[in-house]
Amino acid sequence: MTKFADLHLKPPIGNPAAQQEMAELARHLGYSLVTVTFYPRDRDEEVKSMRKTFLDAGLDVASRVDVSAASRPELLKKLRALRRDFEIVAVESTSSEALSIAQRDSRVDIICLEAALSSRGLPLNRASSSSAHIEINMSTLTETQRLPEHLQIARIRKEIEKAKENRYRVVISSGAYTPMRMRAPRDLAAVGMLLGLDKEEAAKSISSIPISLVNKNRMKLGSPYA
Amino acid sequence: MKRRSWRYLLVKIVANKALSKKAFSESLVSSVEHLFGHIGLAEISPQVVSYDQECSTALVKCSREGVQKLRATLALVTEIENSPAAAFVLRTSGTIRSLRRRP
Repeated sequence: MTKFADLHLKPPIGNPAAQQEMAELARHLGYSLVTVTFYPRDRDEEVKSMRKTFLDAGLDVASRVDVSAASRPELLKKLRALRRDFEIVAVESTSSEALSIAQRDSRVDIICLEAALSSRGLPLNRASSSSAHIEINMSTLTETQRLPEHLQIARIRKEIEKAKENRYRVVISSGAYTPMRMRAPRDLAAVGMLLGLDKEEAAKSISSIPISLVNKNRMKLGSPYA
Repeated sequence: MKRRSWRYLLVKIVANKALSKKAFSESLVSSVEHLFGHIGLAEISPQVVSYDQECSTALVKCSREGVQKLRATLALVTEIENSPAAAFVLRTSGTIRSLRRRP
């Protein structure tokens, strides 16, 4: 049976009721692995409590941090500080300099596509490491309205085509911060097909690709993640 | 002439207020038309077969070729009747009976 993963959930920390609802909904929708975004400033008890909520719902939980940096030194500093503390490290930055470094640095797991919509597009070169992934967040399509909708879709399609040509793997996630922003896995895959992925690529983007990324990082980081 | 094949989707709707079958149906058709145009709407042919207000689930019928497009449309729905909402496809099947039978 296919296992599905949502690599970008942002449940509100300090709101156990919303966390519980999101965990139950994720399970109900068929996810087996979810990645929850934490922030370095979050307190340990809150993090543990949130992890427990998702684990109790029968889900495998991985931790994620979203790194935003305006320059190369800033990005490198944050990666040095955060890499060993989180299973997934994602870079969301509008700085071309930071994005150029992010795609070459093996400490970066995911580059968020949203950055492409506010700049001249992702400065993508040939993927130099197997950990290079581009992420499509549903929230980019449903909330970020910097451009008219048809232009937004056209822009994203272009970036995905560029990513595929440069051998980046594409991951689709919900980016949900409330239960109402979550989506069923096959629905996310269908959106991926709309944006230029073929059926197989779209299916992998919500199943084998995110799951193998998390497993690989867990092996690298060792216990307590493995 | 070859008989047209249909698919049935069990859709769960989450919304801030109670929605009627008519409201969901109109929203669905308008979303499909917005995304895929009149031709796409004709190709997909979405129809709400039944709507359970208590469970907030709907049985939606569409053409077999239009399943993925309908799924994408439902994933992109963020409001119905100017109220925040979300739609999730729980299951799909070629018959209504099997959708209603399975738990």
